[in-house]
Amino acid sequence: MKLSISRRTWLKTFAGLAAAAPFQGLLRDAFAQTTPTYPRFVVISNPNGCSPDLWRPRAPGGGVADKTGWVLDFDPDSSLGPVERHKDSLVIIEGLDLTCNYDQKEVYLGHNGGAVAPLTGLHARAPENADSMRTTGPSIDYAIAKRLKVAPFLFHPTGYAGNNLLITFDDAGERVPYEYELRASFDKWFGSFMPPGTMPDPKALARKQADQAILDYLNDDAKRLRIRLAGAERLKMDAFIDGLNLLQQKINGGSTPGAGCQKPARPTNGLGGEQTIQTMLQLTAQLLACNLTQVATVNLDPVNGGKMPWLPPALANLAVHNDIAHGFRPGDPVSGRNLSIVHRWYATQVAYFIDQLKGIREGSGTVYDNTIILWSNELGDPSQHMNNNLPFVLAGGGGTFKRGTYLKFGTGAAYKDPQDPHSRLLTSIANQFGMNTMAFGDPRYAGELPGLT
Amino acid sequence: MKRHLSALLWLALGASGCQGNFGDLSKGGSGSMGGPGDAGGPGASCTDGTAAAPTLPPRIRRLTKLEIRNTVADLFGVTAANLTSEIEADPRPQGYSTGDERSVNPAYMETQQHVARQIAADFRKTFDKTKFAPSCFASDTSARGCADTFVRDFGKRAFRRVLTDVDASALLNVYDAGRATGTDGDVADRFAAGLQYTVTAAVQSPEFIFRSELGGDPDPSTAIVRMTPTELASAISYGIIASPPDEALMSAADASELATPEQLGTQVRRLIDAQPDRFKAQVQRFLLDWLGIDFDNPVWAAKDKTLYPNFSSAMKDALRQETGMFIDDWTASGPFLPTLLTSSSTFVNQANAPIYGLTTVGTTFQKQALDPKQRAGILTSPGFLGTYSHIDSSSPVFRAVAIMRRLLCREPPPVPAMVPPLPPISKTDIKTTRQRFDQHTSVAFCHSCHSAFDPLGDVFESYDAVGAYRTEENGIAIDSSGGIVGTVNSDAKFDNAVDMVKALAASPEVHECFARQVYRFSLGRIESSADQCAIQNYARVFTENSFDLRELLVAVVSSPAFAVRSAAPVEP
Repeated sequence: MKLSISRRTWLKTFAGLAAAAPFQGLLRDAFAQTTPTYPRFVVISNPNGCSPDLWRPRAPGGGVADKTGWVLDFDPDSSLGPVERHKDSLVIIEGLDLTCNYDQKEVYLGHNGGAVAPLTGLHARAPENADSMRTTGPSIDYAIAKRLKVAPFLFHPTGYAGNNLLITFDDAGERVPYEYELRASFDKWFGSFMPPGTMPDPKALARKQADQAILDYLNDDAKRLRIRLAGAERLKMDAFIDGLNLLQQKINGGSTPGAGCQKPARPTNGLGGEQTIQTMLQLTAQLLACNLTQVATVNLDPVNGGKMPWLPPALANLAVHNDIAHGFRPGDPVSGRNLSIVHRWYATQVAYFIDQLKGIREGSGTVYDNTIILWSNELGDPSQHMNNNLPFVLAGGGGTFKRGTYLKFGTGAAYKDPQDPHSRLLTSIANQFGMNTMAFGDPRYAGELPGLT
Repeated sequence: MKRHLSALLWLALGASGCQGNFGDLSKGGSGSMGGPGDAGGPGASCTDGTAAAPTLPPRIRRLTKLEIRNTVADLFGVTAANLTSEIEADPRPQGYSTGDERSVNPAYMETQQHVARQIAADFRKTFDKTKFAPSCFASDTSARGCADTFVRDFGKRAFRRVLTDVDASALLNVYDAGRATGTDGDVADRFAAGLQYTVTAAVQSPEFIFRSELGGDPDPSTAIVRMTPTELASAISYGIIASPPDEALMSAADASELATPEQLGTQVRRLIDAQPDRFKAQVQRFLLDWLGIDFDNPVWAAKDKTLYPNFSSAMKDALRQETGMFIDDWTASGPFLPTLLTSSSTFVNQANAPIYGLTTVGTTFQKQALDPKQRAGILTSPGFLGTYSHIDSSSPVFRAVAIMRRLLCREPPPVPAMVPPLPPISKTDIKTTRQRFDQHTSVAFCHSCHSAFDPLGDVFESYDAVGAYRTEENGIAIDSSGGIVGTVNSDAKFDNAVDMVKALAASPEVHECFARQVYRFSLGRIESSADQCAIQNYARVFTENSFDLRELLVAVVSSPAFAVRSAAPVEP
């Protein structure tokens, strides 16, 4: 990617980085004998934007919040109230735009744009039709999983593999299918999970060597096919070889499960509601604690034909998207509060997940201390399908972000004038994992997000 | 209530209400179900016999879930559905499960490893010594000789081509390592163990999971390359019956008898006759992809119980089976497109009878003639109508867009950035669904786009969210007037769906669109402007053969587009 940035911009970009954090990883890689330990990475996603007045932090007295010292639970319906108890570990980021979705005369907006751009920092291949849900590069979760050499846990609880709002993309920019049945996921990830201390089997070594022989065979086979391919076709074999590397990790033993690792109970299937979401989040927490993966992307869609019957009666029978999100009007208190009530339910699930992670001991701390969580969205103002002013929150103790911070970028409403590229947030995250990149996603927007580290 | 933008704002937006033209022939980029890609324009001339430049690159095609299932079944002589059930459903970014963009990802590779291990374990459990010469079990050395024979024979069927010595010795390395996991001193057990690991390796190989369309060396001056005969044998067999090529097809490949259109047509027809069940399954996969009928869509799981008290998951399962049986019956009795779109018979048992207002008893499905004034073909089936609905109401727009994209190959314009919400169902202001959508006609900003497709869906207002027929909604008589819009020659008004679908069945634009869709499914990619001529030829053959899907497939398989690839670099 050819970037044209002035030398001044280059210097300014790196001036703000604390302790040359991205370069530490490089040096470690160059000289260390073992792979450096990176935090885990989790994306939690929910749809439908937010109601900004009830979402953004406020000063303790109720006025405009400063960068620090703010509160979230200032109203019984405030969107982020449920994570108040975790706020010291959060970074609340307001005003970022999916500027990558505005590319010359084309705009790639709405739900499709909001599904493609948030984790990739790229716009779709075309504004509409099938290519509006394909892009040209990977999403941050896929890229980090590849860097950490793990298979990510991707889960969307709709019970439907073909959901259009899946947000993970591979190196070729194709959407990656998600798991969607809790019991099947449990069987797949924990099915043959052996707690430490099992009796060794005399033929275990022979089997390990035979499994290795299979991998060697597949590697050679894939390489021989690869050299006959070009372009996008060759990427298919690259993906195959990457997949083999992961299978190789498993043979090599992978990482040992942490002290707090516990094989969870096998879930019952069944769609709908809080139980599904909380079971999904428990499963995710234990996958991470047991080091069965280090990357997860989960969606908080409650799956109930679009309704949330557990909400107050006035909202219980409305469809979240069509009625509540679409009914939102900036400045209208009633519709704003309704949307915030929905968002508060999402925040309750996020708080629950954080509680789970904080409850699992690891080393001298907890799993939460060694995780970076990106709480993502697809829209800003949902009634107009806006891709600017998206609500983002970083959580977890992993990485070098300045926790307990509220960052506010431009929140002008004109959707034709997006100013604050969210892909800089992705670049910051990518560099926490040693990727040492100038721009994750859209090459027009180089540099990390100011104020994060 | 502040639910709508002010009328003033709408008027101001009126001029910009509808960006872009519908099924715009001048726009670049690919369509999904609709849109003729970047077409050469309706006036492009088309001479028979002109060999158009090939548009597809040399590529590898990942086998679909159905193809893997059939390949495993043929390789091992087992019913493979359970062994392959955990393979992910094929993603369909271009609309079809056969899309050529499908690659692998870590989850897929892990699943494939698990599937391969299961298959191999099954193979080991049912290992039959009598299938091998007794001398195989005399010693490790003689066993290895038999393993070499097995690897070449099994490998040829697994990879659909003759193995080279390099291939065979690579698999024998796996055999050697696998043999060591068997019981020491037990030649037979070590032999079986070795073969088990060999099988595990072969089923995970890229040569198993993908099939190639690479050909030999491209012509240096034109960069054109033709698939090798064995590649073509696979392409035909997987394309028509989602199965690996049989002996007859492999022999024809070896004898260079897959060269002329006549030879290719003979093979297609032979496969269809020889494997009717496999052909039915493939046709079903195509039709469900084409029309987007999907009982796993969450909208089916959440149909409103108060509004549709008869509807249950048992009924949903029955409708799913009924849809499959309707399609299979159509395929078996001569797959002519007009019949698919107009037949009034379907399959009924006690679980789905209430949808049709029938009182059938028993769990066995019976073929049943329905009222031809209410039901005509798959577009009036509950499967189609219920998929394109909400959980608590019909959706004239979903149905309209489905017809527009899938039967007319046209794309609706993009949704503008500021769409006011649909007013929720009011308890006091009683309306029909159609009346709730009245702003689509009464407001200019909405009308400018919606007039281009809404009438296609309005006729289906006679069917509710689960596909049951109705004459009134909320006590108000149903208005099912609408019609075909946006076409070149087929625009017409109708006051009910049955008349409209009959007109669609007779429309040349629908016939050409269908040919286009079959191209997409078979070739795994949206067509481009250079394919216009070929598409028109397919449509002509289709028409000349009474719209027989089988002859359309013959036309596609025997056309240059099927076997010829261009190795020229793609412009960025």
